[in-house]
Amino acid sequence: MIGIGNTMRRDDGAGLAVAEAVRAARPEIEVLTTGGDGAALLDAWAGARRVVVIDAARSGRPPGSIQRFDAAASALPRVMSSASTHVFGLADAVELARALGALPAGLIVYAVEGADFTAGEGLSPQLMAAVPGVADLVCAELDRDDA
Amino acid sequence: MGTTRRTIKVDTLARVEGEGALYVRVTDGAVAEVRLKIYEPPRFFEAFLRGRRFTEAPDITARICGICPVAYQMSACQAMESAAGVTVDARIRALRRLLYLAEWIESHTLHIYMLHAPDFLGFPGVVEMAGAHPETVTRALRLKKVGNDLMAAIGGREIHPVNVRVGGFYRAPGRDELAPFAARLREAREIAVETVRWVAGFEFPAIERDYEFVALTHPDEYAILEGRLAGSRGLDIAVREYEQEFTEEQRPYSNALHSRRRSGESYLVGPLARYSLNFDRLTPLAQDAARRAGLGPVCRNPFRSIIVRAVELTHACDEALTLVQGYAPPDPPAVDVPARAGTGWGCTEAPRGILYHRYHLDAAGTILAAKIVPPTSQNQATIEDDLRDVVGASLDLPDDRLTWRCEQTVRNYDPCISCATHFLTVRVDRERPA
Repeated sequence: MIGIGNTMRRDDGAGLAVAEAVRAARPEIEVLTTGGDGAALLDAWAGARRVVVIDAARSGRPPGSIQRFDAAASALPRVMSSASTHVFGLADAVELARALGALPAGLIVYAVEGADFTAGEGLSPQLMAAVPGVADLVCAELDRDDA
Repeated sequence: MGTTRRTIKVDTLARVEGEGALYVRVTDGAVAEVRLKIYEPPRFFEAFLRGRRFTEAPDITARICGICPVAYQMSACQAMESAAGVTVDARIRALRRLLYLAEWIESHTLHIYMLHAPDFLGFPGVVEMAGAHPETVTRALRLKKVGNDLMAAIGGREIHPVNVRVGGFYRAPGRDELAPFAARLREAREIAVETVRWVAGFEFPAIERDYEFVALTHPDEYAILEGRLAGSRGLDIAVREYEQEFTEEQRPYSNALHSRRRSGESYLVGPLARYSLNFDRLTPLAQDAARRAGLGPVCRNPFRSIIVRAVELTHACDEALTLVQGYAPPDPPAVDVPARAGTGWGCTEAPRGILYHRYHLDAAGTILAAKIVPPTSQNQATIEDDLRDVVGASLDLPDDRLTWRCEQTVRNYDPCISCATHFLTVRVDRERPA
């Protein structure tokens, strides 16, 4: 799994918090983290068969709500780029990998809606509450043996 | 006949870090106003640093920017070491320089290929460019990965390098850890030279700007880690004199601060400035690549900055190879830096230009005040000046072309607005005369 985020932008750190939770619960899952640089993502999932990516989103949904996207099947909605510091972000990385034939066979993206993207440390209470549930979803996703 | 007014409006500026807004107003066929807006106050990190230990500054400031964390670490380390009156030894310095060059390789490759080249080739972005030229983009990713892996080998495999500390490194990589990079850097150097050739073939608007270039300069090397601050109009000062020559002003339409000379003039930092002030300290290979690309020793065309970045990329690969080949692990990996009351100044060449730090410390090493001036805030006034010239020379273009040309002008700088703010929404407004 790959967690994306920035711990100095409050809920933008949600992907990293989920990564920590998965790392603690399931040592056999390979967990990577990045700040969201698209090219680094291409490296991170290179050679992997099944990947789950977690990022924070800012799409107008209630804080803590979770969206699941099958990125191997179709492009991510552009809104997935909106919480990224980098314009060459996750959605671009997926499409670039697709164009280059470098997309993992299984690539699932979970977007966790954030409440607060201001400068500062620590997740908002809604996101703190959402992290364990997302971590469970990630583990369940990687446990499926349909790949 | 009444006044005719034309306003250009672009709501999102693609391929620029963060979100911001750009506004251009044209009255009676002349550019009346250009505003580059930045929304978020940039001063959070300065406040956050107050009350923290001086040893924490490199790790805290590294989190300001996802693209150039090493630049922040190096300016912070230099400032803390200057406050303590400590100088690091040659081996630590060489390893720092290697880490910094790795960041340059990553950042310049990202900008040239992913963000800037699509403008010249008529693609909306790198994804579309990859569809038409997959081998070009694959080459770029291979180049960027060399920088990325070298950064990880020296700095640690985290989002931001965690191995850097005031005084040096927590752990020095062994010779065997860096040796494999020699072959990869040799290949990277070839790709970089090929990159110069490739971008030199693009078409460039004929525009020459009378910039005052400002960059670090060093007698023995292409300045990155240290040096004096030099300018193309005679500036020659120590880093600690920076605030005597440069000042920041708040604009009513922008939360970011614009830097200016004390005289009120704008100035330019970054690749064009470094190149034009320090051309003869590029490696012979990089100088040769520049000449073959048709560049003289000074470049004043902001659109040609893509060639200059490629020349610097060549230099970075070339010098990194030399450093890897001559690498000897510093032992110990860090020198001791005691807490001392006083002021420390640091300035290094981030990929986008000089990054200035200043800290006041008390006797226990607690940070009392911090000041950070990123390159993008220094170039902001100059980007607006460029836009004024470019729009003035392109008024005959239809709306969509003019808007795109404005975006391209901003992208010449790879403005890393996230250093100053997080979200940049750039917009250009254009109203037709009734």
